Amino acid sequence: MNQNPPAAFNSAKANESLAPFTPPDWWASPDTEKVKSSRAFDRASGKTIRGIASFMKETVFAQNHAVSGGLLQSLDPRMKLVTFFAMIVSVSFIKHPAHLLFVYVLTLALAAMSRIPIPFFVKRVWFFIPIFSAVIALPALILVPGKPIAHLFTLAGHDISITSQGLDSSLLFVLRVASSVSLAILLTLTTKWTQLLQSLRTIRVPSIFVLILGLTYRYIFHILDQVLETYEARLSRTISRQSAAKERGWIAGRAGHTLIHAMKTGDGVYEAMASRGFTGDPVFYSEHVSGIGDILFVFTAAAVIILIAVFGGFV
Amino acid sequence: MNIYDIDNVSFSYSGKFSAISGVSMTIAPGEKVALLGPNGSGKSTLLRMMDALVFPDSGEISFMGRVLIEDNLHDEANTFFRKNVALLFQNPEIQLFSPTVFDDVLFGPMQLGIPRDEALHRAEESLEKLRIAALRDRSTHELSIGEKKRVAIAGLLAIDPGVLLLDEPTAGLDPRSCRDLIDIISSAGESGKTIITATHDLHLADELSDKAFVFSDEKTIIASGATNDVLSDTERLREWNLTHIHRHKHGGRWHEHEHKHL
Repeated sequence: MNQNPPAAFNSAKANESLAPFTPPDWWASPDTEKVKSSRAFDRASGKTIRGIASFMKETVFAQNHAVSGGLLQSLDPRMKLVTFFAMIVSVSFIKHPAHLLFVYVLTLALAAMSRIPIPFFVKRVWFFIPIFSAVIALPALILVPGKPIAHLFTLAGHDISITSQGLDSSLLFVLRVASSVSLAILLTLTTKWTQLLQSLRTIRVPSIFVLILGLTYRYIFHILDQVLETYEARLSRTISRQSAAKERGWIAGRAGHTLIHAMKTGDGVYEAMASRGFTGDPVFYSEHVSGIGDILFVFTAAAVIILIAVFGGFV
Repeated sequence: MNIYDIDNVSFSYSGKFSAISGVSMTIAPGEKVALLGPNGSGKSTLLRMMDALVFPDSGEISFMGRVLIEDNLHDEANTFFRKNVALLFQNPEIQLFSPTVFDDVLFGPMQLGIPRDEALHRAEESLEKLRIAALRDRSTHELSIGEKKRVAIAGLLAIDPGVLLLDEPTAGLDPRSCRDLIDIISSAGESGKTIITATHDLHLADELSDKAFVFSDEKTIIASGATNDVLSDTERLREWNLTHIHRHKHGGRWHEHEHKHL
């Protein structure tokens, strides 16, 4: 036992490969030169990376609404999946905006009965609408021939106007998208992902497809965390402004690295699966049992679809 | 009949980077074996070969008298092998690929054609035995590393293999999780399973094995024998980079001693 740091620590007793570490002189004289700090990287790339990560976590991984004990949460996920799928298909055949509006209001009512805050639900749905519909709905305003209702500009001697028929088509399309997206989001918000995957298996979706979907869900989270860690590691060592070209280069390099990492993870996962007997045709187990409430829900949904069809909604 | 007969096996990645060079060993049923060596000495690659996930460039590995080559591992032969051998990967992130804990524990038995009720019983019991029944419906990505390791082991035990291959089973665990895991593996060993553990933690080797093989940086075996004998040769342990002089302070006084885990 020694009172002072043992000399033997630096002696030949220690392994050669674990030779004692001697700090370099410059560790003792920190650089005091003032460096103009910049969070340019944080502002640009950082916001994007954090934004994507937080959006993914909120939309894909948030499961608090799936366990909040409302109407839709209490149903057998298989019944729910089949019913919602049928309703989404039906929505694509409805031709009157009023009927579509009815379906949309119905989804709001279902959201309320499932304890999903309406402002949150509406915001979630309308975030997707422009992405899916703008590309088609906006040109349709002027491209669908019909009675002009608002003149926009003149191009090569032709009047470009919004037409009445164009407005109807666009409205119909946006409402269709809104109703379909509302139904899809309602389903995913009120059902755990794990239950959705199990439900897909029970309705005979090919098991390899369900497996890939499950793996994607499982590993997006893992890879997302890695991307964030890489970003934070760089941020912790960034004190001065980087040129835009350098930032682009770094992001491209990290994207490539993430892809390689994902491929390596994929190889490892395949080995782990093969090690436990997977040969390309996965076998799964499902444990859901349907009750009266589920059957009632399916019948009610079927009745709504039929009513819309009977009263002239379908093409 | 030996569980494994490994004869002069070599393997390299992409034909360039040697991972294993001229390794030979035999392992009898019920033996507890440690593969010791520094990082990158080929232990993990050997375990993957013993689990028939990669195959030797030269030499031969036989499992219960049958040579492990891809052509010998189809249909029933593959099922037989997978029912008898299970590998705990070092990285539980890779091993837990199913959406929920229960799905993951059940994965092996379901793939291996174990009847549904029996598979369910095994999965439930494995969760109970490892004291993780409360995690049953949790997503695998939400777990701590200690919980992930337990779930991974539960998934292996549900298969009820005769041979457990463990790759650095305690890596990254806190002391309590580490202790729990050693107890779990020890009790699996007491039930007659053959346990082969790759590690650089000599305390772990001491607890989990009777026989040890030491791998060098040259990816070959440089020593073997009873674990007690291997671990008592402190001079050579230092030569093999398996111990180092550790110094630490107690009450203002400095201590130094051999450190047998990294």
